[in-house]
This record gives sequence, C-alpha cells and structure tokens, in this order.
Amino acid sequence: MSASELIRLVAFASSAICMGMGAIGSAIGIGAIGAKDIKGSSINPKEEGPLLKTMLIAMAIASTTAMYALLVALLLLFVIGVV
Amino acid sequence: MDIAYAAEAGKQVAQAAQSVPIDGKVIIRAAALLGAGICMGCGAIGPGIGEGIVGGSACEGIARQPELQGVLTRTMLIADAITETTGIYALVISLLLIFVVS
Amino acid sequence: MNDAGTILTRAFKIPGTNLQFVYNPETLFYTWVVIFAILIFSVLIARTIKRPPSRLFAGFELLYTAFLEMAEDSMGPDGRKFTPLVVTIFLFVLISNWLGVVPGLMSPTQDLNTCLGLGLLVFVIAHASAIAKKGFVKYLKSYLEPFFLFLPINIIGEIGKLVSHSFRLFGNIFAGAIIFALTGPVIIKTFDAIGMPEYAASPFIFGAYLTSQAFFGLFVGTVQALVFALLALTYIAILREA
Repeated sequence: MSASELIRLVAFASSAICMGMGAIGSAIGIGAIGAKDIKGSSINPKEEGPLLKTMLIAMAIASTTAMYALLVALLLLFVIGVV
Repeated sequence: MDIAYAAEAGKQVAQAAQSVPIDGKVIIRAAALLGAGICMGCGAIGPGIGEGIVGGSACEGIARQPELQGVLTRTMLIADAITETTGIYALVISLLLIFVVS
Repeated sequence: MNDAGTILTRAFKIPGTNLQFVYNPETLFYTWVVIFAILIFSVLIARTIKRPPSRLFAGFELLYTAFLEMAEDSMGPDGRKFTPLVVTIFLFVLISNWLGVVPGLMSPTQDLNTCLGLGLLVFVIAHASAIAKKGFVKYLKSYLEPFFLFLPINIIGEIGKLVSHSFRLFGNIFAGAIIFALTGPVIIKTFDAIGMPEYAASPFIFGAYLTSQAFFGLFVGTVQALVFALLALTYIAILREA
C-alpha cells in the first residue's frame, strides 16, 4: 500500500464517520422543535400561522451544525480523497 | 476556498506520491484527517440538540403568549448565535487539521 | 465525478510583482445575472405605480410590509431605515438560490466568496451603525455587558455570528449543487452495475431531479434566504439597542 492510498482510505473513512455522527444532534434537535410546535398549536390553535413561521426559522438554524459536518465530509471526499 | 485550485493540487500530490512507501509523515497526515472527521462529527451533536431545545421552547412560549412574538423571536436568535459557537470551534479545529497538517 | 464541486477559478499575475489576482469568472457572471434580474424586476414594479396596482406590485408590497413590520418590531421606529437593505439582501439571496435549480446555471451563492461577502457586509453595517448611534465608548462597554468577565465570550460570539451566518447559506446551497451534479452519474453507474442499458435511466434521472432539486432546492433556497435576511435584521437590531 502506498502513501496516497493510505491517505485516500483514511479520508473516506473519516468523511463517513464525520457525516454519520454529525447528523445525530441535528435530527434530535429538529425533532424537539417540531414536537414543541405541535404542542404549542394544540395549546393555542389560533396561532398556527406565526407558529409555523417560527418553527421553520428555528429548524433552519438548528440544521446548521449538520451543515458544517456535511461541509467537512464533502471536503474530505472531493478534495483529499479525489473521488 | 478555490475548490478547483485545491482539487488540482490534491490530484498532483496524489499522483506524485504514487509509489511512496508509508513512513511517519504519511501516518501523521492520515491520523490528522481521521481526527478531523471525528472532531466535526462529535462536535456537531451538542449544538444540534441545544438549538433544538431553544427553538422548541421559543415555539411553546409564542403559543402561550402571542403578543411577545417579536421579543421571543429575537431572544431565540440571540441564544442560537451563542449556542452555535462551540460548533464553530469544532469546525475551525477540523479545518485546521485538514489543511495545516502536511 | 471528479469535478462535482469545482468552481472555475482564474489567476491573473500582476506584472512586475510576485502577486496574483485570483477571481472566479463564472461566479461574477452569474452575480451580474442576478443583479440584472433584480433591476428588471424593480423597473417593472416602479412603472405600475400610478395605475391600479398589478399583482406583481401587490405581491411586492406584501413582502415589503412583512419586513417592515419585523423591522419595527425589532428596532422601533429606526426600522424604516434598514428595511430597504434587508429586502434587497433577501431578494438577492432568493434569486441566486433559485438560479442553481435550473440545470446548466450556477448560483452565485454556491461559491463561498459570495456568502462571505454578504456576511461581511451585514457585519460591517451592523457594527458601524451601532458605533454611529451609541458612540464608541458605549459600544465598547457593551462588550462587558452582563458581567465584565464575559469579554472573551462576547468577542468570540461576534466572530461566531459572522462565520455561522455565511457558512449556513453556503453549506445549504453548495450541498444542493453537489447533489444535483451527482444524481446523474450515480444513477448511470447503478444501471451499469446491474446490467441494464443506460438509456433506460433517463426517467429515473428526471424523477430524481424533480424531487431533489425542484422540491428541495426551491424550498431550501427560500427558507435559507428568509433566515439570512431575518438574521441580518436581528444582528443590526441587537447591536443598536441601548
């Protein structure tokens, strides 16, 4: 096994670990937001419009760290691993 | 971040090192790449759950008192900006590990 | 699949020195396309201002009033001054996100330089207007806000806001572009592996394109543009408050 092959092997494995673990936190967080939104809608059914808007904004922000993990995974896959 | 530039440089490095045997520097670089992946992966768990709790409580608060919508949205965004910082620490460390360790 | 995430970059060597002037011609071209689209849109709207309003004008008025209400909620009566900036940023990001959905076109926000530029714009405007409103001493004292030991946390928080603001937009749109560039080759390679002919893959590629881009790309583009503009407004409002 030569040097470049070892580096490609580790880059692919690392990219997989990174994206796999990075998706855990975001998924739990976005689920929590959705759950509280449904609970809030049931407490106050008139506020569904603004509640939906707030929920979408909060979900877009909560998915940011998964986006960072995706960025690092894509970087490892395409720039280091040279797929 | 000029990806075309970096991809070209990566291809040239990969071709030049075609038959170089494994020695210490290569193992260090491989370990740094693995560490970058683990760092960002673990580092993205915490802020994700945290921002989920913040957003959820903001939604519930707006449902209980709809007049405070502006104040609650602003407070949610301020809390999100601070919760984000540990995620950014992880991002900076993994980018350093990828690009600076030669 | 090698150049799925590449952006064309050219370097121009300044003669007589050792410096290089690096620029991305495709990104610049598509940024100008977005600017012309916004200009044509504005001219079309401004022309109907005397006659009974067309639907385009009414739609734009709805958008502007929504941002005006959010601005006045956050900043008080100063909100009127910053609403044109926020609506322009929103329209720019929205149209450039939507450009990437069309096959063959590239969105300017796919390039990290555009997103960092927009983030820096909002950062500089927020801090400069805070200094102009509060004075330099009060602005510096706001970094010691809850307790004076919070100084490093506040400084890193400001830099963190800039980084997260730009990287959120860049990551979402760049990931969408990579998915679009990869669906074709991946489906064709799958068909090669299981032995079916390649020309039978086109309805699958079309279906994958419709679901991934025309649904996610448009929806994610709109949500990210809204979040970007809303956060820009909030950062300006937070720094300006006494």
